[in-house]
Amino acid sequence: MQFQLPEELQKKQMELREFLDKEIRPVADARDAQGPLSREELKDFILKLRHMGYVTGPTRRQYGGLGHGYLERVIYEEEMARVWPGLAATVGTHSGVAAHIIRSGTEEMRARLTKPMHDGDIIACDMMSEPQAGSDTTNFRCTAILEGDYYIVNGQKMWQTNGPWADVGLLLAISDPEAYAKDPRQGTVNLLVEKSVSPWKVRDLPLIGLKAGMTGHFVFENVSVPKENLITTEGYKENLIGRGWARVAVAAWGLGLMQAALEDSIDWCKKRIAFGRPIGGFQLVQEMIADMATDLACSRLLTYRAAEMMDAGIRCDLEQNMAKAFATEVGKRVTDKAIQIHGARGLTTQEGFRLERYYRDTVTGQIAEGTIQIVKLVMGRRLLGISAIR
Amino acid sequence: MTIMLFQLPEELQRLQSDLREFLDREIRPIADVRDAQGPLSRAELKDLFLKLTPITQMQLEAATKRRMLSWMIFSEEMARVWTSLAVTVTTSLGTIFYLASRAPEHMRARLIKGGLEGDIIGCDMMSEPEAGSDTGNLKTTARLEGDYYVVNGQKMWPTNGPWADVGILSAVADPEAYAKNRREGVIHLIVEKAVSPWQVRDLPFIGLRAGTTGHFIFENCRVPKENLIADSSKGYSQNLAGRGGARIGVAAYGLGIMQAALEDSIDWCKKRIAFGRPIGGFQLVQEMIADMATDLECSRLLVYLAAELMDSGARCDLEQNMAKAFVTEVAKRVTDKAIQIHGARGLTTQEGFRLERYYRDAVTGQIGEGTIQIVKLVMARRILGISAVV
Amino acid sequence: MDFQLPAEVEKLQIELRDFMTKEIRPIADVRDQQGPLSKKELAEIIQKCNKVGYVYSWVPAEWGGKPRTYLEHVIEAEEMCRVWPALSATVDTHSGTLRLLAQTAPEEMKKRLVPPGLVGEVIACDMVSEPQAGSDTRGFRTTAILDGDYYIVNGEKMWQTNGPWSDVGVLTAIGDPEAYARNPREGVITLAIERSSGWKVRDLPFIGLRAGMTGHFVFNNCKVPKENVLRPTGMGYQQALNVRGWARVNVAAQGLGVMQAALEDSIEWCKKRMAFDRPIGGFQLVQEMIADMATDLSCSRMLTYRAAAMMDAGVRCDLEQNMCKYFTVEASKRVTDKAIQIHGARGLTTHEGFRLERYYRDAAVGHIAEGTQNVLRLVIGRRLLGLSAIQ
Repeated sequence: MQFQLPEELQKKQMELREFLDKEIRPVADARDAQGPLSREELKDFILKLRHMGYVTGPTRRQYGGLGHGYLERVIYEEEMARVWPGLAATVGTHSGVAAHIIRSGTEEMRARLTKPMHDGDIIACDMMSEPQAGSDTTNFRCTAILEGDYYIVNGQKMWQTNGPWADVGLLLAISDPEAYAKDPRQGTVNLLVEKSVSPWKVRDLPLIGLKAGMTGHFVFENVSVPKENLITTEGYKENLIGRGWARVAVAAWGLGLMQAALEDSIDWCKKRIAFGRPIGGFQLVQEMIADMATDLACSRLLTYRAAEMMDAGIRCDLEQNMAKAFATEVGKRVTDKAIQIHGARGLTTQEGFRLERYYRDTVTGQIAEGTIQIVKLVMGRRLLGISAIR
Repeated sequence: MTIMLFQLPEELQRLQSDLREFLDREIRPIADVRDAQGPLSRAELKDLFLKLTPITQMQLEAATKRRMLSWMIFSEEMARVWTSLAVTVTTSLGTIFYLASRAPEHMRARLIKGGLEGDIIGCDMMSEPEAGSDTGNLKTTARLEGDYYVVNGQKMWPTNGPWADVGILSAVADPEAYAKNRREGVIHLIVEKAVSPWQVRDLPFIGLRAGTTGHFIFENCRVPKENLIADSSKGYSQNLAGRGGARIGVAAYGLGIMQAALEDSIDWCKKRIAFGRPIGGFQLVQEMIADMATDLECSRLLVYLAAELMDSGARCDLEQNMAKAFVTEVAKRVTDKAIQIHGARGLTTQEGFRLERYYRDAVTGQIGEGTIQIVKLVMARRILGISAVV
Repeated sequence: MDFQLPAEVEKLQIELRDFMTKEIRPIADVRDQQGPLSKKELAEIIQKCNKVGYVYSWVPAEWGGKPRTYLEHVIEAEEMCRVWPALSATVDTHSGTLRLLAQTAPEEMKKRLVPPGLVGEVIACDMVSEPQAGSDTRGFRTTAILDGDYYIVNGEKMWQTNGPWSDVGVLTAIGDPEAYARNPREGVITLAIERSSGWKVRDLPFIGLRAGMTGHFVFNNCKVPKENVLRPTGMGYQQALNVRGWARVNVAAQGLGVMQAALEDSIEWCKKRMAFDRPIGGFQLVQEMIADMATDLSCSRMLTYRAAAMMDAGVRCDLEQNMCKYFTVEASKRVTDKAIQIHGARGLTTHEGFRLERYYRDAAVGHIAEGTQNVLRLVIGRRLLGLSAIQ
């Protein structure tokens, strides 16, 4: 199936795939089920992957990164998710937040944090959702009130990828409760929070999939954050910057997962004999393969298109949302069919089969960065000019 | 040339808006009144061809640079206002241009002129009562006798049949060879009614009401042997080569239908009040709009991708089939949702609402140029290298 | 046609649900993700469930059993699966196999195995599928060849629920290779085989049903006394078929339990979880999901109860058995998926007291067990059309 990626990008994709198949896939298959990586393991992977352009890719060239475009980043994420979604989400989130901090932060932050983040000595995460505020971003409660030289942070953040490992975070909090109450696009700040300076409590929230990763539940009790750590008083707008790419990234991980599920299935179709012939010779199985390939192709086209528009600087919130909603929705049925094609081997956690892991890993994508319902309502609002979100 | 199709090339964007403006102004008003009344007369058909001259000229010009892609845009825009006419006109012109490139020299200019002016209507004569999906079961024969092929048999379901002045006829020239191998022994002939009279009757459909579909009977019909355009060795693959364009052509009609259905629906969502507000303000309706837009976008990207690949000369049977299967499948649910959004007005054949017509017109696409099942089996055969077609 | 459950069955359902919610659910929620139960744990839990008639409901009265109808067995499975699918799969398989032994095993074996089997101190399993023969039951290779006073068993069995715990299994094997090669309905024998015959077995962990075990057996010249024949050569195929019929309804019944739990949890969350200043149950998109979940569950239930009722009436119902499993599996995918969506991130978490991700994983096993969806489509199609497209 051809997608007409620019030639250099096609080449890069093949390089990445070769590297990941050789260096990462064998580790992933053995390691994923064992649970969250240790800090040492994570740092090792970051350094290994950096050679191929991960980690530093999203950071702008002027700040010491590789300055990858969005389409390029999609390819990177897709290839990683093809072999290890748990690691893709971890490293992808870290790299993206690092790039964001580096870009939007102060000179001082850049000088201090760029190298350690690129080396994997400091892990970054986003801090946005709260226990009572997932979809409803008008309902935040975490505050960061300026008192003298410090912002005093009180509240909780929940469901943050990389949370328990994080040394630094990009915190969205309410600095002016009155203003926020009047208009939730006002009265919030973005702060850089550092654990070594402003210690917090955090625990892991294990999920159905992405087992090698960690997801943080933070509690901030009168945590002091130096006022120099202010990134911007336009917290709402700043946060939106991250969200657009994050949606496309989730879609890209979906692409990788579906690609792997389809490859394994095509392989099995030719190998597995039943009723005297390869099961790929049965019409019902052929239909499943055709549908899987189509779901993947559509997802890919939508995602690549959104990334291209981002690279061209064209407004594309609709296209970003569409890619995210579609790829995560069809990811479920693709991985489900992959299990069906493999029969009982599709359920087993061992024996060298990965299908049940694809099935579990794909489910997170339909929630992270916006439930399918919310994303569709945002699309609907854009298409109709009428909001039905509340 | 790298083509990523989030944006049509500028000249094609212009083509699209020019076509749309023209068709909305000149054709749509006729379509909405005339379609339900049944097949056009020859006189009406000729009038319409002449009326369409400005835009067929536009398309021909655009085709010099981007043949298939411009053809897709032309088909989509026509289908958006009058699917039945789109099918008639593009089938006729498509067939005639195909013939003109292979016909004996003395016919070519006459065919093209007549085709563009609506004096000559073309059709493709392939399917038979016993041979739809099973193209290995053709029974129409063409026996070489002196200077003529003598044709006996039937053809069923060709678009434009009853009007056809000229057609491409697939027939078995060597029954023995054909019986052994369905890729052997089949020829293509240009047949002209004036030279080789046949019987034909109309087969009315659920949709495409202004069009006609022919059931032909050939009894010792004599066709000059110069009219051979593809011999037994090339007949099969020539046939296939033509099918690719026809397949995504059918998909392009689906784009037009869905585009119209979505536009009408968005309009209605803002206009129709229920429970004190526009129905577009209800979540369930928003979800439908979001899904319709997504289905349409995926469809469009698949069709444009296939067209682009064809224009670049790349093999793309997989992409063509994928576009056809996907588009015709989703067109059903898009037009279904459009009816739901309009309530009872979605069912009515009058009152100026077109939804039921979209629904009926969409259904044909899932059969013409390959049932969804056959198309998926052909796709899977390509992906797996295993055939389950028989 | 009566669409109500008979009064006594309704009463049973309430009793079982109360019991399960109070006694078993708290254990399940903590214990399931820790992995397979030990034999001791399993026996303890089975004995707990004996109190409300589990296992005993499958065994003839002469063994102290109190047999229930198939409809009641569906209710048993549904209610246990509502709180612990892994346990349900284990107990259902064990009970069904125990009944077969109680009916057809040699006297001495019955006396030795049925009483401890009732209280879970002996565990039974089925042995049918093989590495190369899941859907394709013409592809068996395991043989049981009579040699003097023993059948010598060679081969493998794979994907057997309860395998590694089992003390005894009902083995389907080829007794007459020539006959089997001619016609796969011929030449098949069913034997009761015990651990003492010397099989090797290992566990095959699954995406779901974590507290359960699934066995891969290897038989290397294992000796089985010839008295252990349950169905002689030539009758084994029919035996296997009979078991499959109930097994499919059983899997459907388990699906009902998972969907019931998923729906209950979702309805609760819809009322409790606030977003945009109101319970999320007040949003149309959420309401649609609840409506669809309830409808899927309802249809699944009707189809499953109908199949069971027909079995109780002794009426041929292979079509209805296949259909209820086929539909329920598709429905359970949609329902457990929507349940996750309704719960947002809490739907993904393995802790925090939320069970949604477990429903999703547990339901997945039923999608394959006792016949893939594709096989069911073809079996149903063959029955409706009189044409086979299975091969």
